[in-house]
Amino acid sequence: MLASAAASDVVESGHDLLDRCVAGSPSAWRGLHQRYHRSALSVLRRLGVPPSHLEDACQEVFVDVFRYLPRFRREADFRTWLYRICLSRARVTRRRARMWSLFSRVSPEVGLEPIQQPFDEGQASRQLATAIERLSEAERAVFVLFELEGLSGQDIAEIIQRPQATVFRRLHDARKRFTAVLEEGV
Amino acid sequence: MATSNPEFPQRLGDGTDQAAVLIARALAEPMPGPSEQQSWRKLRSRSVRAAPRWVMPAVACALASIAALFWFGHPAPAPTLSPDVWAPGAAMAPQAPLTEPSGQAKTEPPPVASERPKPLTSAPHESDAAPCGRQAKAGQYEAAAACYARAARGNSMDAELALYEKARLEAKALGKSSLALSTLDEHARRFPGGVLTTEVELTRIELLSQLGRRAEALSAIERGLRGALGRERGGDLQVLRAELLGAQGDCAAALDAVRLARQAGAHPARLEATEQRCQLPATDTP
Repeated sequence: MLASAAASDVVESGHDLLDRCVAGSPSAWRGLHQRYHRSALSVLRRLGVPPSHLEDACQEVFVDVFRYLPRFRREADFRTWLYRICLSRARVTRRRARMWSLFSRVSPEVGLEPIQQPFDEGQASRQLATAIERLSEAERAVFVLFELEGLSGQDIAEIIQRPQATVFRRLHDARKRFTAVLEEGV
Repeated sequence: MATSNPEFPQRLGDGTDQAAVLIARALAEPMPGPSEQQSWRKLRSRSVRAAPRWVMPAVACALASIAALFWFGHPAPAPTLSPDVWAPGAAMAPQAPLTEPSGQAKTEPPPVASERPKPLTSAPHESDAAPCGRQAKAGQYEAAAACYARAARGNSMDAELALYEKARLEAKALGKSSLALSTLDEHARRFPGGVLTTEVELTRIELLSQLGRRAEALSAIERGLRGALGRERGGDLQVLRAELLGAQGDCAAALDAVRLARQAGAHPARLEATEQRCQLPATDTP
């Protein structure tokens, strides 16, 4: 049921692919992109990246993956590492999107509105995104990774580089706020 | 990746309340967005567009080298850098058995390598720090460090990487371990959840060891073993711990660390020095 459950086949079968990517094989890069594009896209969206910035953010994630893969240590799971990049990229993109919207409000005549792309999100997804938007940045990351991506507390602790106790404390706070937002009616 | 514990804590989506229904419905909806093919085409065109930025200087350098060969008749020895500075993962491997604490940073010139490191050909475009790497490879270490310091401004991932590279350069090429340590502290302060956090922490422990600050290194290792660093690099941490404890004369604990390092998959060659130190009693008395 959870998004990551179907995609946890990475660790065993992905090492050859990563080796070939590091060796510079274009087909391996394509394979890596095919395998993780959807995951990256969905986690970025759930982390609050606006639809109009989603594709660019996803591209930036893969540029970072391509750039830093030779330094990636295989002791960690690739997906954990990818999520860490997504978290970092989502933070930057959200900040950038806020600046864009502020700038376009202040001087709409300059025509610097971000390009609007067709993005027909379902009603439940929109409602969920609106509720998640009300969480703090730290709470949102933990909430999304645990509740929507189905990661364990240990994995999340690795991704956000905090002890598991912190993960669960944040999760507890996030759930309280999320439930309160739903009760208010989003 | 570890599988999640289904019992604690239960996920909201597994319940039956309003939140559970919303999450279940949202997860069941298809995620819209660009198709993988469209995205790949765009990504590839980005890298093609970016190619001339590094191809042109490379071609110019190659032509200049050929011209110099013709002009001078024989090639001048190219300034090279110790390969361990640039090889991926080199900073993670312990450099040498521990020496006695000197209290000072090492200042020997870097060893000359016989071969140049391979460039990262897989990167689709070069970052702001790319000229810094070229300066370092040309042996202009001070200039490269200053260049990395400039590239490390801001909060981007490039800035994070540049700061880490600056620390590695200071430690391994310039021999300024204390300065490198303060750069790593700056990294930890500015990028607490960054993508290189575990690498930075391990490099920091290695530097503390090299500087003879054993107690600090050991407590950092203990801290690391309890967290994400231990899960990712437990073997390396145990190797370092064994060396430090062996150097302190605590052979029982050192041999225990050796055993744990073996269990974690550390290469036996990296443990030989500690084993010899602890298993063979000193025989220098007449």
